[in-house]
Amino acid sequence: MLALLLAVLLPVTAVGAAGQRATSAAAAVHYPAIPIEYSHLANGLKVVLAPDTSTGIVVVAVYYNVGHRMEGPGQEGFAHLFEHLMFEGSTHLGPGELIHLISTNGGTLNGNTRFDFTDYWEIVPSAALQLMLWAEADRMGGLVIDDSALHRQKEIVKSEVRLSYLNRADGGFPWLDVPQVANRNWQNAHNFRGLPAQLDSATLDEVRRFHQTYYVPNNAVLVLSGNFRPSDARQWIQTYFGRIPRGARVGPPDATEPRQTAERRGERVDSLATHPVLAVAYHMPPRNSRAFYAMAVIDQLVLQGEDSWIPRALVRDASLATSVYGGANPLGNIFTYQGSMLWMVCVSFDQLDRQAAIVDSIEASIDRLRRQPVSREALRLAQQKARSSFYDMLDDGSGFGRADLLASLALFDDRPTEINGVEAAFAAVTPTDIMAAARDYLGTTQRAVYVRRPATVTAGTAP
Amino acid sequence: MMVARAAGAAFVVASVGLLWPAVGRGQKTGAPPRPTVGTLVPSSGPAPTRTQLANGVRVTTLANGHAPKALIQVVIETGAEDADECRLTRVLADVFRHGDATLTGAGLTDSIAHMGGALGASTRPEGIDLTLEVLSPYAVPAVELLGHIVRDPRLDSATTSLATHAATDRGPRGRTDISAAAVEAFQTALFPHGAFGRPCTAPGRVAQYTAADVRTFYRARVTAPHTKVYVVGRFDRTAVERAVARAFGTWPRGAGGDTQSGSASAAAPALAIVHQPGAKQVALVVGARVPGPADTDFVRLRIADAMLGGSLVSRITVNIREAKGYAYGPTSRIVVAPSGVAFWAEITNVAASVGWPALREIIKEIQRLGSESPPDSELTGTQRFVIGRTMVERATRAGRLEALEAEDVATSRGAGTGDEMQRMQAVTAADIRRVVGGYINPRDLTIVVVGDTTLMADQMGDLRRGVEALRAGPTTGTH
Repeated sequence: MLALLLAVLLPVTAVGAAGQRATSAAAAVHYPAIPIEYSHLANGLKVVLAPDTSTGIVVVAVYYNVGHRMEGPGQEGFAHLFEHLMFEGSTHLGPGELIHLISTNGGTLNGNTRFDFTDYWEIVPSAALQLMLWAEADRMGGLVIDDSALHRQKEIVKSEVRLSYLNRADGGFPWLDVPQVANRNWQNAHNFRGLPAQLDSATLDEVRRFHQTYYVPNNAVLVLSGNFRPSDARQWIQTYFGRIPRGARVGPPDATEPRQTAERRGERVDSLATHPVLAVAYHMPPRNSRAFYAMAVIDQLVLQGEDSWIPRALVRDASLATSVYGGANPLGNIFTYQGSMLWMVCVSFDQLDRQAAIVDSIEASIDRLRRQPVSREALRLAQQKARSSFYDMLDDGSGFGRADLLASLALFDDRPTEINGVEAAFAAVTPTDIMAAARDYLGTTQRAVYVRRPATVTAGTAP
Repeated sequence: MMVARAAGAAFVVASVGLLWPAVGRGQKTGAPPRPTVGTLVPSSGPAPTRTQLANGVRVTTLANGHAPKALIQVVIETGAEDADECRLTRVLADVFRHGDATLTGAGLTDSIAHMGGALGASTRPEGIDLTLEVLSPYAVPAVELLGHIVRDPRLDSATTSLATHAATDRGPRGRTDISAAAVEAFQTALFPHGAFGRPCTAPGRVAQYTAADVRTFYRARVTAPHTKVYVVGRFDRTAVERAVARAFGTWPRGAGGDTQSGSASAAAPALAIVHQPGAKQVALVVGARVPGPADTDFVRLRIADAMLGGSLVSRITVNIREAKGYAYGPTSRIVVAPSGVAFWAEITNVAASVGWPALREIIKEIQRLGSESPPDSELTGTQRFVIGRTMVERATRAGRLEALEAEDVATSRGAGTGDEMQRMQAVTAADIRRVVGGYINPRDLTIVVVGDTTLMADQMGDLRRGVEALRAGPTTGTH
C-alpha cells in the first residue's frame, strides 16, 4: 500500500498525475529572498543588515578574518586561545562582564575559531540590540588583558583540549588529523588546537600584538540578522564602531596548497578507541567556481543521506561499515572558508582488515562519476537534497546559520547578497559539470587515506 | 534606549542595564555611554492547533518560520520496559527505521530523499520519537509515510535481526565516554527502579530477541491513545490535518489508560565512584530529585537551576570555570521523565588533579544558595536570561516543537495553566533559597565520580570525608 502511494508521489518513479503535481509543486517553492543592506564604514568595517520582523530576536555577529591558518610556527593553538581571551575584558567591560551583560539581558552567546576566521556572536531579544552593539564595539576597540586572565584562559583551553580531543575516542577526527596528512603547506597542515605546552608558552605581548594586527575594523564584518529597525541600527553602528581607527593592512600568510600528484597515506593509533575510523580526503575546487558547485551536488549524490552511493554500498549492501559521514569543511559548511579545503568521506567500521575493501568501494562510487554523466533523475535528486540542506543551513541555530553565511560571503567575497543566488547555482549544475569535477579533483592520486585504529586489535582482525 | 512593545505583552521584566555597571573601569572621555535595555517582549507568533482523533491520537500543528519545510514528529509513549526486558524500546525504534511491511531498503531511503528529508528514530525515557523533516510540498506524503510505518512496521525476522544487531552495537565507541557513563550511573543511583530507564544488565539478551518478542512488545506498547503527532513549519494545514486523520485515524484505539512507568521511588543519597582506567579527565554529576512540571515549585526550580549552574554566569560556572579554570563546559539541568518525575543535576568534566576541589566548590555553591536568598539584581538578571533563552530556543522548528511537547507533558501531569513567562517573573529571592535548600539540600545529594581514580588517589580521603560530613549536615531549607 505504502509502496504504491509513494511510487506515484515521488519523482524517481513518477508516472502519474499526482506525482507530477508533487514534483512541480516542490520545484516552485523556494526560500523567500533575504532582504540585505550592505555597506562599509569609513574605517573599513563591513556591515550587513538583514532585517526580519517575523521573530522577536536578533543575531549580532562579528567575524574577524583570522583563523587557525593564520597562526605561525610555534603559535599552534594561539588563535583559539585568543578567542577565549576576547571574553576577558575590554575598555569599559571587566573580566567576564560581557558574558554577564549578554546573559542577563536574555541572550545566548558563543565564539568559534575556524580555519579562516574567528566569530563572536550573540542572539538577544531585540530590545538588547543597542547594548550589544556598544559592547562588541568596546571589545573591538580595546582588549584589556592581564597575566591572571591569560593564565586562567590557558587552563580553560587546556581543559577543553583534554575534554574534546585528548580524552575522547576519535577526538579531533577528522578535522584535526586529516589536514595534517593531506596538506603540504604548514599553514594548512599544523595542529590547529595546539598542545598544552605550546599553549602555556603564549605571552601577554603576543596577545596584544595579535589584537592590534587582526582585531581591527578593516579586517572584520558585522552582521545583524533578525528583528530590528535598520535606521536605528545604522545610527548605533556609526556611533559605536565608526570611531574605532582603521588598522594596518593585514596580509594573510600564503596558504596555497600545491596540486597533489600522488596518493598520501597516514595512520595513528588511538589508545582510547574500540573501533577503527577511516577518512578518504580530496582537495576542493576553488570557491565559487563551476566545479565548486558541482562538488556540492556530488556531495549530496554520493555521501549525504542513506540513499547516497557510498553509504548505500558500504553500510547497506556490503556491511563493510557501521556508518559513513563527512563533507567539506568540518568546521562549518562549503561557504564558510577561504582558500584550500578538503572534502572528506569518513567511515566507522569494526574490522581493521576491511580498510582496503572500504577504500576500493569508495573509489568505485567516485569512478562512476568520472566514467559517465549522471542521469538527469539522479542529478535532480541531488539538487533537491542540496536545496533542502541549504534551507536547514539558513535556519540553523535560531538564525545563526543565516548570519554565518552572510558574514562569510561578506568577509571573503564582499558580496553577501550572493546568499540569494545559491539555489540557482545548485540548479545550474549539469551532468557534464559533475563528470568534469570528478575527473579534475577526485582522482586516486589526489586523495589522502587516513586510518585511526585502536591500540588493541580484537581477535580475528588484522593489525 | 530602545523599548520593544507588543500588543498584549504578556510580561514585563525590569531593566538590568544599570544593575551591572562596568567593573573597575571608568567611562573614557568622549566615549559613548553604555546604553540601557528596557523590557524584553517575547514575540507572539501563530498559536498551535490541537485536536484529538476519535481513536485517541493527539495532533498538534503550528505554522512557523520562513523556510519551505515541515518538521513532523510522532511521539510514541511506550512506557517503561519490564525488569526482564533489555533495550526492547531501542530495538523497536530501529525496526521503525526500516519502513513498513511493503516499503523498505532502497525504496524507502530513495522515497524519503526525494522529499528532501531523512527519517530519524530515537528513544527517550519511556518512549520513541520518529522524526521526518521534508520540503513543504511533501508534508502530506511524509505524514502518510509515518502513519504507515507506525501502524504496520516490518516485524519480521530479518528486520528484527538488523535491529537487534544495531542495538547491540550502540555501546560507546570508546572507553572514555565518561560524561554519558556518569549520567547513566547517576540516574541509576538516584532511581534504581527505572523512572529514567534501567541499565541493561544482560546485554547478551538483546541479540536473542525474536520477531515474536518485538511483535508482542509492539502490540502492547504502541497504541493510538499513547501516540502524538506534531507538524511544525510551513505547510498546507488543512491538507496535513486530513492526511493525519487518514494515516492515523483508522488505527484501532487499542489500550488506553496510563502507560507503564518505571518506579518513581528515589533511592537514598549515594556516592558512586566509578574507575575508568586511562581517562584523562574526571566526570562529576551532582544532583537530587526535584518536583516535576505539575508542581508549583517547578518554575521556581527552573530559575534556581539557571542561577546555580544552567548559564554561563551561573554561580557554579563562574566559580569553577571563570574564577578557577577547573572546567571548560560545566552545566546544570532539570530532566523530566514522561511520568512527571524529575531530577536536577550539575554535570561537568574536570582535570583529575582538581576532582575533589571542583566537587567541593559545587557543593559550596549549592549550600550558599540554599541558605541565603540571592540579591534581587541577580534574580532579575537570571529571570531575563531564562526568558530570553526561551525565546531563542523557540525560534527554530525543532525548538518550537519541543516546547509544544513539553507543554503537553506538563498539562497531562496536571500542571496549572497561565502564562509561563509571568510565572517565571513572579519568582522571588526567598523562593529560590527555599527550593534549593529544600529540594537540593547538600545532605541529600547523590554524587557520581567517573574517572581514573589512580590519578585522584591523594584526594579520595578528603572526598569521602567531605561527603560524609554532608550527610550529617543540617537541613538548610524547607519545602
